[in-house]
Amino acid sequence: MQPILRNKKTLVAAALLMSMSNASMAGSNPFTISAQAIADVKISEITPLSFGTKVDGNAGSTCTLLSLEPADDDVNADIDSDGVAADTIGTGNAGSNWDAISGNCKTGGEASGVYEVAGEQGMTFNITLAAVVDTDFTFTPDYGCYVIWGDDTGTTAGDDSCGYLSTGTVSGIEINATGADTDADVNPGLSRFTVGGVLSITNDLTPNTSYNPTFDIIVAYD
Amino acid sequence: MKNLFKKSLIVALLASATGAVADTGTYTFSFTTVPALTVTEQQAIDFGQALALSDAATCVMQVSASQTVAPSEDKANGVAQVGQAGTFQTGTCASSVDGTTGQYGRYLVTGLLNSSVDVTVTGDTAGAGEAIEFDAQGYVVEYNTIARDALADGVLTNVQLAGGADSTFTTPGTTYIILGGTVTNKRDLTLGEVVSAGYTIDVTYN
Repeated sequence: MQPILRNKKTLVAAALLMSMSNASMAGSNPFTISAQAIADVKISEITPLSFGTKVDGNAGSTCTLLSLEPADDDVNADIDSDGVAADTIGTGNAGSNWDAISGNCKTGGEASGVYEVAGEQGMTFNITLAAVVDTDFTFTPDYGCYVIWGDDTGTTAGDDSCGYLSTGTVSGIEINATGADTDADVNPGLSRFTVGGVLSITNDLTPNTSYNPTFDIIVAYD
Repeated sequence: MKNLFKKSLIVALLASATGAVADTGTYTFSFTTVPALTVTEQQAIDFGQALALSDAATCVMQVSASQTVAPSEDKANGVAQVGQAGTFQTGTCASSVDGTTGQYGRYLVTGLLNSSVDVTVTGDTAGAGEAIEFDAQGYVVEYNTIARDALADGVLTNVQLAGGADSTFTTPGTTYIILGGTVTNKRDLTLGEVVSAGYTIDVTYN
């Protein structure tokens, strides 16, 4: 009887060893996941914004800069970066609302701000602009324009259009993607926008003086 | 393996949340203020000893925008030909008992060259008991077109300050205002009484 009992014990032990062996094999099989980071969204300046050299610096003065209707074949104002002059944006020539100043300022040196955003093709992002309130003046970004790619509007090739950009956050702006923009597919991974606005003088400024304040533009993926 | 996989996911999410999915650009927006507009009196208005004594009498110093003077004479002191001796006083002015003929006013305006400027000259309304009231009249030189724009009391007149091309006649960024006008007695005056009235020249960029 004793040997039989001993044999049973061995069997039990063997079964335990098998179990341990199975566990060891599962642990030795590595699995991997793969992931790739999206391209950073980066903003850069193409043309600095300027209200020009003839702003009336008296309290109560206002100067408005319109940055709509950019020309499409101008390097600095090629809002959709496609180098095509046939787009509806300005149709190759700046419209009357491009670089147009009015109010208590005169023509001379004014320029719409033009900015470029680099990011992941086809992703949408948002732009946030806020008013700058200085002791002596206020700058309210307004009358800007961002590209709505032609394919997004469902219209014919080359029919990019201009979205309105003002103070606050505008979302759903698309970064150009290869094959998505039907008219050019130039510069995939980029988008451009313009910024104009209203400069309001709240306290008398020093005559014949240049001012170079700053403002922030925040871009983020939606 | 399950635990390890979960951990990996968390790491990936964290990387995404703290990565550069947003960017802030700080950029300049520039502007330059124009030079201040200034008005400097070069010669005060003086009617001389010419006013009639009675209440409500008027005396006019005629400074005409249509007077023919070569443009070069509008340069600085060249405007002296305006108001030729003895001819500019009309109305019920008394004869100039002291031999003077009065003197028109001349004012230099300076600002941004070629800029558009609004000029308004307004005589003060006489208060109770004041001797006289003055209504301004005259012109401002428009160097851009070599013309004289008439000024009437309280009426806005637009003029362009001289540009670089006008430097033959004057300094760029300047113009001249020439003023005469009408004095109205608000009460009887006494012989030899010296009286005065105020007025304002207002210049603003248009």
